[in-house]
Amino acid sequence: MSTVHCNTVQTSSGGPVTLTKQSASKAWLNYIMDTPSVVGSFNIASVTDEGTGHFTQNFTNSMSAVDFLGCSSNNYPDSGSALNYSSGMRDSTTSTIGFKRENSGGAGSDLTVQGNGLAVFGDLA
Amino acid sequence: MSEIKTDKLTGTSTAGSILVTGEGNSTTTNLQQGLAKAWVNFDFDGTQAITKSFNTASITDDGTGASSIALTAAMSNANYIITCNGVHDGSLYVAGLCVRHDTPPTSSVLKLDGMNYNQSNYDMEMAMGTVHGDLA
Repeated sequence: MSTVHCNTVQTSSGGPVTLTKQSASKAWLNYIMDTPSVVGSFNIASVTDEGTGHFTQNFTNSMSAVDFLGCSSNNYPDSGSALNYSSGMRDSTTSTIGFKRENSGGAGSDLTVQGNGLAVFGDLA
Repeated sequence: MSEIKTDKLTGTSTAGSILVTGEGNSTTTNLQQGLAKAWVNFDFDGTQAITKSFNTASITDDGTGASSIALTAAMSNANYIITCNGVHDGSLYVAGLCVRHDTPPTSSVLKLDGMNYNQSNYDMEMAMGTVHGDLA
């Protein structure tokens, strides 16, 4: 098996390389909403708590345009509370992405939950 | 166009760290940090079974609306993220795949719960999840 050892991979003209049938995420965040605190992250400079059920993550390296996507997981709100909820993206810029959590058990109200897993895909600036 | 054909990429300074230039031709991003480390598409109802996956070893039925997915190559800790979703059965309206709270994921096992709109565990028709984070 051949192995290439290097620190940086780019095209001969200095641009992004094509990874055959692969697409890497440009940011991800494991965030505890009710503390709040960051458990783990990649390309996240900070997280802004914007009140119940709302927060914004600020990228270290910005995206090229506001056409990227964010996807998230659904976690239990807290121990012993079997409450389902939904999540969605809020206002975003090239350097931030907003998320909100909402109770999907019929109330439709904003909800602060413990665990939040979020990933971002798209083009870097 | 130049093209490198190889079976493996390894960092020179740090074996598990290679930078790639971003789409804007200036910013770099870490290749290893951005890649999904595992993904799984599995049947939840009936006999739980993995339909298609990457870096998963097995699935365990933990009871109604509960499943554990074992990873082949473990993560470095439990700080990784799982983005997950599911498809509900035709007889119900809403179902979601949740990361289990009371017995959370470990570095080698994903703990996932299917939940319906009544806020109870539910065997969904199909479920899927992706893992991002650091491998051990």
